Amino acid sequence: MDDNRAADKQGKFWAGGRYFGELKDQVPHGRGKLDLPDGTSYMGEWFKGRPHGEGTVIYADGSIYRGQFRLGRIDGYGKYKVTEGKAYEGLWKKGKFIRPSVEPSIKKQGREEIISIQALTFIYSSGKGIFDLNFSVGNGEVFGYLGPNGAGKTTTIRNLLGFTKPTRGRCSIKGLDCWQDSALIQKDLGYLPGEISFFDEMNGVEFLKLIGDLRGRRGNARRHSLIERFELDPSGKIRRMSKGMKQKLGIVAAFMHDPAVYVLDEPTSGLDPLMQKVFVDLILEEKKRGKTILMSSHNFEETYRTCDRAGIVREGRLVAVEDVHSLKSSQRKAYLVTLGTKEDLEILRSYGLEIGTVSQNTVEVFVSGNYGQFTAALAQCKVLGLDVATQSLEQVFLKYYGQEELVR
Amino acid sequence: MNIPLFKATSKSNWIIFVIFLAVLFMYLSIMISMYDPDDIEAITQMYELLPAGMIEAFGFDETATDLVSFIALYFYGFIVLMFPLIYCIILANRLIAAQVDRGSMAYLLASPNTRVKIVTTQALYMVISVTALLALNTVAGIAISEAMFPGEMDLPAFLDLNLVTIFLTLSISSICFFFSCLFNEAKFSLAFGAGIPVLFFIINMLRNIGDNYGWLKYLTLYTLFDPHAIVTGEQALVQTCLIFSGIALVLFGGGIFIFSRRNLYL
Repeated sequence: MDDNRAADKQGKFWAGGRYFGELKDQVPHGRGKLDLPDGTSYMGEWFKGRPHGEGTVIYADGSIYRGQFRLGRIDGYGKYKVTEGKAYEGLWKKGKFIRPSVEPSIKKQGREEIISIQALTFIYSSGKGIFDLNFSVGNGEVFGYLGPNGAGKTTTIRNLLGFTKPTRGRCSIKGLDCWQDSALIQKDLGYLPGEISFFDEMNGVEFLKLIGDLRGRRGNARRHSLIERFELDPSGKIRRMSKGMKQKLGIVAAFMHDPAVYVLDEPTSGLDPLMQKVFVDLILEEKKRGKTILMSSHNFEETYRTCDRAGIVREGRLVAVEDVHSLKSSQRKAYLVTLGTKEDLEILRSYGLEIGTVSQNTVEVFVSGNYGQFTAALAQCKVLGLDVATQSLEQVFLKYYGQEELVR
Repeated sequence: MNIPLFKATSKSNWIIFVIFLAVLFMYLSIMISMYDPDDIEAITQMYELLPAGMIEAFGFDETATDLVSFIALYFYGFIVLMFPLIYCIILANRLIAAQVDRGSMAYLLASPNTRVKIVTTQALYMVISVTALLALNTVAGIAISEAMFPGEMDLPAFLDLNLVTIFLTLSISSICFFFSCLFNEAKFSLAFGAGIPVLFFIINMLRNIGDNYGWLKYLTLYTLFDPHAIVTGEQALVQTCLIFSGIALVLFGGGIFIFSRRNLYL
């Protein structure tokens, strides 16, 4: 770390001015400040001798630009204030102002909206799709996106990633339009595709290196720690990896650049229970670090363990956006009770419990929040066995899906 | 252009490149070794054993009097069109359509690079590898013929021939690439991207058969490529190259443009 030391008090002669800050190979790199003799000064992040990243430049005439830089030029989101009252705020590219855009963090009822979906509609030629979706994910929030297969989860995510152009409406991440500015958004986004398919001929190490290089990032401490954490062996050919191993590889690729926002499409599919737990811990850790996460799932339990809020989508329409804890209470669980005698069934009925199918002496009992009633009834019976029935998401959220849909 | 992607693309496609290069080298050395300056008639006699229609279809009905027109006739009339054509079809499909179909394109687009940048990198790989394939073939042709028949080769004519071949193949590759960018499913992009150039190639063989099929020349790009006329200096090289590169520019550009704005179901 010798070459990374800060320049001395007099600063370093650089670009005709004085530079104070971090250096690497005798060139400004890291955080630093440059004062030029004409009164212009730049303070912020440097990369190989050029302003790159977040920074502020104060010009000799008193005008100020604050925002993103890329390889020495104003590029990305930023605000250029010429005089009091006159400012250009929005998207910049190679030093030129492209268009005004909303500030990346909209303060809305005290909450910063990071992912914002407004009247989003995308219709496939088959007529299916997503229709008029409206929701947002706030800063530091973990949002579960629930729905059965084919409900439109992946379609929504395709729009968020800029793979498809909304038929109507819009979606944005940090104020940047998902279709127009997707490359800019990707700088700080981690994406895990729902269907894992890689470059088959590569091995895991090569793949992770390529993804890192495409992002223009060096340093792989985080990559190593993720690989260790998920007990991933990335040395083998991807083609020969098991589904779970591929999923782990995808997770490492999505998390290794430490982005601020994650979009994860069914992240735990293919993982064994132990690895699901490792993943849940990782999500909780990222949440603590203030990351914003949208993850789709058809598994309520995993959503419950990680998410703050959840949206439920059905046939392309959002049927509910609720606090996860209130979802939990409206969740309907089915228990399979094996009874000793026929009379016990009558006891259960007399307690007003919702009884499903009855086969021999095993009874299906639905419970949604009324556990007191349920346990009281059970205490009166001779119970030989008690099991939780596996259910589809529709059955779990009967309240949102409606009975008639199940009959169909 | 994105350099890491270019490297990765080269790494996963170099084997195909080497295979096609080896095939071209093999045919090239066989063809050159068959040239006998003392008895050019020998090969002509050999072809006389074949049915006349087949010889015409392969474009072997012209007469060759020296080494360069011999190679132009027997190598550039058929082999050097067919193998690079297959190479273009396979490569174009692998570069874009197969990746969209399989879904690995999602990883490329989920990086902070624009679609234009990603797809331009792939297009550049296509252009560079096709050019390299034929340039190496040119070098090998000169080396082999100088080794076997020193001083026999008319170098300027041979270089002209290869220059036009490169531009022709680039325009063919642009057709394959354009359709690779156009569809979400590899089967459609292959149907058009391979179907159209192969149709051109078959029509080119048919039109050689006889005067009855003369009108077919308006239906294929290969009409603009006449190896015999190039080596004898009867074809306007600059115009031909300009037409081929014009087609290539339009189709590569069109492919990149369409890919950058269409919906991708990744």
